[in-house]
Amino acid sequence: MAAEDVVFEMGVLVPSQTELPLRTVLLAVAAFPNKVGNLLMKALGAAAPLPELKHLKRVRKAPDDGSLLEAILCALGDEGVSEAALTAVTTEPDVARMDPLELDHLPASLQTLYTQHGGQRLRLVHGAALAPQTRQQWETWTKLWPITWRIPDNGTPVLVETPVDEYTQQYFERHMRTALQLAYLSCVDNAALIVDPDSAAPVAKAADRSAVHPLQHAVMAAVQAASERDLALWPPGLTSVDPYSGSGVDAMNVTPDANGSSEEIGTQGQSHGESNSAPDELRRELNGGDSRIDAGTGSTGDEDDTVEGLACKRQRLDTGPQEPQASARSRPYMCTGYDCFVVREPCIMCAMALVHSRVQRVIYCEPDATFGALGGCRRLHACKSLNHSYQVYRLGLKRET
Amino acid sequence: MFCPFPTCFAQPCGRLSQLACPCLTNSHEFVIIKCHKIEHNRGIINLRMSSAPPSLPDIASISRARTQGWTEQHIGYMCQAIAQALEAWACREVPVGCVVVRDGKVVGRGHNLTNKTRNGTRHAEMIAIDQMLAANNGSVQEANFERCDLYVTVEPCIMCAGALSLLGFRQVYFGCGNDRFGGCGSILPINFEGCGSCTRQPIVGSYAGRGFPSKGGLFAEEAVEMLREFYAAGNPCAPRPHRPVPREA
Repeated sequence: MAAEDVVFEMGVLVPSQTELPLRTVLLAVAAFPNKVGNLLMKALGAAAPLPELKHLKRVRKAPDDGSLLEAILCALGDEGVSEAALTAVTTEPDVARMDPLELDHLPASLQTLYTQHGGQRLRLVHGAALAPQTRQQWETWTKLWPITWRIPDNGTPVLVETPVDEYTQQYFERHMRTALQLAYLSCVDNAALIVDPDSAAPVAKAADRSAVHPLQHAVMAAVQAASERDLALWPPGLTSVDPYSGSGVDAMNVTPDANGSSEEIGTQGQSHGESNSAPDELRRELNGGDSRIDAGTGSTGDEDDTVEGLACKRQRLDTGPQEPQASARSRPYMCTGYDCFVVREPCIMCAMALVHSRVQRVIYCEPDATFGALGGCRRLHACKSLNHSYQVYRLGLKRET
Repeated sequence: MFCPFPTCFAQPCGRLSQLACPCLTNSHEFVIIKCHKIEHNRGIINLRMSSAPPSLPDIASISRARTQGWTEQHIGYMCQAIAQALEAWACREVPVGCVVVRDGKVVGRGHNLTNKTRNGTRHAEMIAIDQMLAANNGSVQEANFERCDLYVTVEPCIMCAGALSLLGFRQVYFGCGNDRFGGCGSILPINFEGCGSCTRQPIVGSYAGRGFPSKGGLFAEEAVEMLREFYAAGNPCAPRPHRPVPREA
């Protein structure tokens, strides 16, 4: 099928996390008289701290008797996803239900604590084993045993596939069509395109070459093409970007004003390439093909390099929510801030190559349930230890009926 | 004008000539000598250079490896991998090196080249694989990865583990683990799960979902030490340090 006839579905953000199922833990709970509250908290903190269950409140008012407190003595092992607990969540918490517990199941220190503080009604209660990710989860889970709501460190995660806005959709469709076209013309089923979202101009593209080289999947080939373009535009030794090449001095001598004023507004002067006109022209040629969006945002190639204009633009870019930090003018660090369009969902090797290349977004068309690493089978972008992460979008194809 | 200290790699930087070079102070008894502050367009980079560049494992660490049950072959090949990492160090690349052994012969070697190629995927393993393919006119069958063992100083990353799985490597030995993006168990067990293809078309000489046995811990301390020394200076080509590089008083 030729790429012009393709109809796309709405693009969706592929979440990096899925909703956590409720896991419960069995808690040994006992009731104590109200008046020992403070002493009890201290004694419990010393005798049996619960570092794994910080999200649970240690003590609650007994739901059926105002003169009693109920406190968690200790946890008795992870229950997994328990049927009993799930029904407990859906129905009203049944206070009258007793799962009595013999005192001698507890560690010795807790046994003495229990008797010293006048404990009674020792029983088993289910509580959520993990902190909830969202407010909705908190509302259900807290019915088991009260939970302190705390927004997760990285903010409340997106857990469902969210559609993109109209403008992004157009941008996605345009470039995905190019990628499909490239695959079609190269007689393979996969191709990748790396795009600078500032200027909406393709930086590098490649079709799958795995018939020639077993590791030259489309993404790997495109990443390589991007690095070759980088080397061609900013050759080693000539550029001001290499901290060891020494022409940082040149940049300062040639445009001292530019450096000065950009520092004033607090943006690190990124005036690479100014000192060297030849690569700049080459770059202009490369970007020239596609400049519909350029007028508004990114391209600085054809205009006068007035310092004020440049500074204003950069400021605007910095405040924009989705814009990457590097302006179109500066040399990128590998693929920082770029978008990668790929026809088929990348395998784990390609997905990791995109992490190494520090792309900003990955957009794919066809999910792969067997080897896809970005939502199809695995979810690499959920991996927190990586030194970089990107957003993943799926732009499905509408099947002809 | 320039820093006179022999291991100071900062010499070619023109900007340094405008700064007073702190190496002239005679505090040479420290392992880390001094902090060169080099300002360039992307911000400030702190360069710290060790007075003693890393070297091959000494007698003590070799005998320690022997007591850990490594054979002379393992030790010999891993020393060659470390030699590759030292070469990477010398050209200011992340110090990771590897050798590929087939039928008792070293048939490929490589070290990290991400800074020079400006391509974040040019890891030691990828360089060695490309070298082997080039030596066999690009033929995967002739390169015969199924009979190859890889010795690499640092656990292969998730991407490289995927590549090794696609090519069907026989065995992987590594030095230290990689707790940020290790693909042989540290972060993801690609050595069990394997990697697949990105295309539906069948590819000659490429496996899908094939795992490979891997074993780590040979000269782990040496590999870690090299990385630590390297990152103490901050990767010179990274845009700006992700974590603050400690300044010296």
